[in-house]
This record gives sequence, structure tokens and C-alpha cells, in this order.
Amino acid sequence: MKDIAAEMYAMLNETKIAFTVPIFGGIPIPSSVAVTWGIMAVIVLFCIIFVRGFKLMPGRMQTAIEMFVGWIYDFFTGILGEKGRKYIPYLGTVLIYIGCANIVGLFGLIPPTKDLNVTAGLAIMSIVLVEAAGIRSKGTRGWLRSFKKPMAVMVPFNILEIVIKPLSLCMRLFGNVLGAFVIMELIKAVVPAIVPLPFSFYFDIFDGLLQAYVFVFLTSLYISEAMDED
Amino acid sequence: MLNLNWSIIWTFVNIIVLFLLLRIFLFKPVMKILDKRAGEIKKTLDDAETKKNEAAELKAQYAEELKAAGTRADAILKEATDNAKVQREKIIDKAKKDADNLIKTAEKQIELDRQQTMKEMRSQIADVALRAAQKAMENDDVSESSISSFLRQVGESDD
Repeated sequence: MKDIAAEMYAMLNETKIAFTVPIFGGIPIPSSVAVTWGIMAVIVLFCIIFVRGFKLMPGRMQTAIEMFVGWIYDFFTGILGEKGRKYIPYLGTVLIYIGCANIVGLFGLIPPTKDLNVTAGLAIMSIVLVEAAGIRSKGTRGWLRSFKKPMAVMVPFNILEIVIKPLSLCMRLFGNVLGAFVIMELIKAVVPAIVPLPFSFYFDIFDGLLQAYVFVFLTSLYISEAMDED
Repeated sequence: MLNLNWSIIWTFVNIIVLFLLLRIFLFKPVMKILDKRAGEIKKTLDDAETKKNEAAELKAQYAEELKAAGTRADAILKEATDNAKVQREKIIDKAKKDADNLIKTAEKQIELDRQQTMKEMRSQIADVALRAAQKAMENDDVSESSISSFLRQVGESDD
């Protein structure tokens, strides 16, 4: 038992370097970044191939893509309202990226979301977007004034929220992916064949997509809250 | 993987690049086509609505025209009937007048004929009487029976 724990800790703790770019004395590229590039390339190529030939009378693929994008727009418009429409492409991007990153484990790659740097980066970008949306919607003074709402006593807590919100976003995503990884490794250690399959479906597909959904859902809720004029 | 380090910058760069690429290749074109289709559908629906209104207008117009035509037909029929009535009365009047005239002319003619006949008869009777008297004087028989037998002779020969 102690062996497994040590082994897993070693597996988790090392920063896997996929390759090193041989300039400036070698820039190491972590595997999460390399996988992210792969995901980006696939998504963008997919979009270029299928979206380019869009017609007014849609084919099957076009209908599927339109439904998906339409669903993203409907979903976020429902939370943000019409004035939040400009944030939808970013939220959609994050949704697609986290969704792909979480299920990439099915193809034998390491999910980039298992790297704390990725989830932390996403969470920091989310909180920057949230506060930017607040400033854009209320003006700098209105944004600053919103910290003492509903009453002045709340100022420290509201300031603390700037840290807590992204931290919870980051850790929820990371914890889920990490937990899934640990459980999967344990199951594989006990029964290496067939039994891990349903668990893999749950953790890699269902939980992965669910966490992507939860991440953007909460981010959009924070944005909506930040834009809210009271 | 458990430690935060400088490689967080990669995440920022990657997400921003992916966001820009997806905006160009996915969200903008898809929303453009969706908006375009929505516009097209709205246009089609508006067109249909306009056509429907036009059709309803035309229908009302035709109904009115039909009604007007019916009224006109009635008027024409009535006029024709009236005309026919007047004409009929005129014709009957004329016929009556003509018949009256004819009867009057005929009566006049008959009167004239009668008078003529009477005149002729009168002269003939005078002539016969004269001839009877002559015959009687020739025979010296002025008896009534000789005169009547003479008259019977004349009547038979005249017939």
C-alpha cells in the first residue's frame, strides 16, 4: 500500500516534459502544454473543415454544429442576458477546451487539466474576466463601490472573494480530475481488465464534461453577478 | 503536476490563442449563418403575411364586384321588363286602334255599299216597273195577275 502511494505521488509530482525547444538554451515544454496544442490543432482544424462550407440550407454536420453553438449561446444568454453576449465566445472556448481536455484521457494522453498550472491559469483568467466585466458594466468607481455591498462590514469578505472564487474554480476542476486519476489507478492496480471500463466512462466522459460545464457555468454566474446593477 | 510554476503562462497564451481562433473559425461564421437564416425566415414569413393580406383584399374586392354585378344584372332585368311592358302596352294600344279603324272603315264601306245597292235596286225596280207598265200597256192587260207573271219572268231571267 505504501508502495502504491509513493509511486503515485512520484507520478503526480514530476513535471513531465514532453520535449525541449532547442532555442535560448532549450525551452522545456510540459506535456500538458503539448497536449493542449494537440487539442487546439484538432479543434481548429475541425472548425476550418466543417464550418467553411456552411450554407443556408444546412447539411447534417452543419445542423449538429449549429445546434451545439446555438445551445452554447442560449445557455449563456440565459445566465448573462443580452448584455453579456460579448463574453459568450470566450466562455464557449473554455467549455470546449476543458471538455476536450478532460476526455482526452480516452485516447491514452494525459489530460492537461491534471496539471495544476492549467486549471489555475483558467481560473485566473476567469476572475480577470469577471472583474473586467464588473468594471466595464459599472465603471471603475461603481466597481470599487460594489465591494461595500450590501454593507461596509462586507468589504474584507468581498475582497477575499476575488481570491476565493478562482481558487474554488481551480481546485474543483483539478480535484475532480486528480481524484478520478487516483481512483482509476487504484482500480487498475486491483483489476486491470474490463472492470475499469465503466469507471472510465464515468470519470473520463461524464465527470469530465460535467466539470467543464460546472466551470463555465460558475464563471458566467460570477460575471452576471459582477454586471448586476443594484 | 502538483506544483504551480512559470508554465502557467503557457495556459494564458494557449487559451487566448484558442479563443481568437475559435472566434474566427467557429463562433463568428456560425452566428452569421444563424442570423442570416433567421433573417431569411423572417423575410419569408413577412412575405407570406403580405401575400395573405393581398389575397384577402382581392377576395373582398371580388366579392364586392360580384355583388355589384348582381345588382346591375337585377337593374338590367328590371329595365328590360319595364321596357317590354311599355312596348307591349304600346303594341296592344296600336292593335286596338288599328282594329277600331279597320272596323270603322269596314262599317263605312258597308254603309256605302248598302246605299249603292239600294240606289241600284231602286233604279232597277223603277226600270222593271216601267217595263212592266209598258208590257201591260202593250197587251192592254193591266190586271194584277199579268203584272205578277211578268215580274216572275223578269226575276227568273235576272237570276
